[in-house]
Amino acid sequence: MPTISIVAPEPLYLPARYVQEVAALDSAQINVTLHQDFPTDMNHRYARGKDAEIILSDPFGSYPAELLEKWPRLKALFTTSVGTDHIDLAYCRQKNITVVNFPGYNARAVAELAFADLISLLRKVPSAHQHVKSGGWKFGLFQGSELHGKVLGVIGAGSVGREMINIGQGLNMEIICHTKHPSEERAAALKLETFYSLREVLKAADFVMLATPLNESTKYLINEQRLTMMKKGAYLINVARWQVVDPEALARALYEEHLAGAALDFVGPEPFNVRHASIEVQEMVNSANVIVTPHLGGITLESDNRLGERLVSELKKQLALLQ
Amino acid sequence: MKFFDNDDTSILEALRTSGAQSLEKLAVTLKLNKSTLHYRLKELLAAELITKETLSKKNVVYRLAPPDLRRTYTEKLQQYLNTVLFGETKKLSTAKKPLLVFSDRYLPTSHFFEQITQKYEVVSYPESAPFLEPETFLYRCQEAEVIVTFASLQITREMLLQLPKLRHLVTASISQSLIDKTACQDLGISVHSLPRDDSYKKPARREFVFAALFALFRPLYLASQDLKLGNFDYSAFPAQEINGKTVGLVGGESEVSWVAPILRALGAEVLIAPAKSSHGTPTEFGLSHFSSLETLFTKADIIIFPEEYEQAININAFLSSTMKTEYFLFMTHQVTYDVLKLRKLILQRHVKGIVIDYFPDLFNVFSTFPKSVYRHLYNLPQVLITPEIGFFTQEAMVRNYTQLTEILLSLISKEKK
Repeated sequence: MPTISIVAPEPLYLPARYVQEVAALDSAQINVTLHQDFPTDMNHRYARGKDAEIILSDPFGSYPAELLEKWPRLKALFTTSVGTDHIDLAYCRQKNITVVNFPGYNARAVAELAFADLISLLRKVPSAHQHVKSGGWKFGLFQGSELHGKVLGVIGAGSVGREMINIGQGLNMEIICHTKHPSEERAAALKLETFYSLREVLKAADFVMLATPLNESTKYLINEQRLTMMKKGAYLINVARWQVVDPEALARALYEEHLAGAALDFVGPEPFNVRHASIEVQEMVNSANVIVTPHLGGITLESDNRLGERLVSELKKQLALLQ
Repeated sequence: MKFFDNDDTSILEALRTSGAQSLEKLAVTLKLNKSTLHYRLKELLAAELITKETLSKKNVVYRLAPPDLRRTYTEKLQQYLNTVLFGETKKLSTAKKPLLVFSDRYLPTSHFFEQITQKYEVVSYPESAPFLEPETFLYRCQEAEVIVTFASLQITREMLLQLPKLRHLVTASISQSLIDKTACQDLGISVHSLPRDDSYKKPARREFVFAALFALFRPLYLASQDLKLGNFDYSAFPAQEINGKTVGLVGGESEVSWVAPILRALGAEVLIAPAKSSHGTPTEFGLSHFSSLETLFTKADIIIFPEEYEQAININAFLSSTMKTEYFLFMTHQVTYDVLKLRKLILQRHVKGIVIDYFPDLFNVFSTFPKSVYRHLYNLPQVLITPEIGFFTQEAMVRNYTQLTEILLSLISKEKK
């Protein structure tokens, strides 16, 4: 029986026990190669994966058609991510290469981060902690505000959006949601009366949470015009992709105090270095009413374990098909 | 009962010095907007501290109320204050000794004034907030023969009139600019402050120049913070040297003469623009010539304003995208500029770092923060604004207490004569 080759051209983003489970698939018929460092460039990535039937990729690796066409043996491409924007899906469909991603595995983690950020912002937790570390103890500087009864606008009703709606309902917030695929059944399933237009959500919400995928229609969805539609004093929480929000427009909206605050798990192209950003964006990142985190929304022990479990299971299914 | 604030005392002072004034004229004199001023005047009318006279349909003027009307207000105020809990402990004067009051939270350590306590009953408020309202000052000092004040509080004739026992007013700082000295002279109150030439602040301020410079150029704190989070990457913290840079210093008193040799030792070229003509000769500073302020902006990478100048210095005309200077250290509120112009230069990356060791709205900080004009700067990268920490070291305060004690002892010895 010909050997099936499984290659991870870059370090596999999985908890150690699941990396070991993948490595343990190595046998007489299955050859497993898990590289521990990142390929230097596209040619290096090509060289590592050229004999593989199955590639296990990192979400930051890039898999355009020019690379994939040099791997004629490739049957399946796994990505340890929800998104597939780093893979040329059209080419894969054309060449019957199965693409395996893991939608929803980290939805709960991402949604929880959105609320962690929102509550931290409203209660000024980072500033208060800094104040105490500096020797202060003036609670009067940190008057916060509550979520109860306020309007949460959720943009997107996929797995992350659904979790946000669920948490928001648990916090006794009024939820209004916009989705590109509204229906009465979907609304009922989410315990919502109805869906709203994007404009309606932006105008009415005290807090806007973005849970959209990145595609042509959502690129710079939140631009200058839409930021001005938002309620004065509202907050924007972006745990989607950085390209969904125009960062310069957001920086201006915050500087001009149209928005009261923002939390961003993305600001610009990754890896983002604030020192290379425009001065306005740097000012935004420095502001006490802005929280920025380095794309860690989905990074929890529980979601990583879910990813590992699902990947190993799917890998075994693929191997069964190929053998 | 409506309390005074600094705007009210400014209005009363303006009416006292200039007589009757219209709202428009007062707005220009005091740089207050008309609607705010209108509201303040209404409150002062209600408190019977001023009167309003309609000279003609379009000519309405305000005057200070006659003394007996103002006295009524003072009595009402005192009655009110006596019934309010300030949340502090006030030691009431029961002894026969005259009263010396430290009116704000400033308080030397006790061994500094053992001799003073032989002559005076001393009352202090070390738990005070950093900034003092006029009413609180009056309440605390109403029985005082000697007042020692450190707070940035304007002390006007109106306030002094409410302190009948006051004989000596001492500021525990080098400045008397907030005190109405003419009123003190009229009322027989002597005014004292700490020596300016031998300012207790100077050694601390001189060293602070280097603290500020290094804070801009070497991200020590950030690197330390990041390491604690597990990031062991030196390349994340690019820094710069002072070596090879041209540093412009403005002034010529001890800060400049002390700082210049150290900057040279660090490898910087030093240019000096004197703030006044009596700053000595260039050779005293190791230079062949002094530079003008304009020259500093064309030749210096860094300009430092390290001294407390006698007159304000406006640098607006020199701030431009063609200037060479990329870094500024402002250690005094006497340097003035258009904040938005400076912001624009930072956004354009012409200016790459600033340290400002004062907060411009210091007198009204609680009413203006975070609406201060400096909100246009303080979130920008490489802009460090600190609340006048440059002078504040343990050693500086020991010098301060020592100088203050000498003043108080000299008052006592004069009294004995």
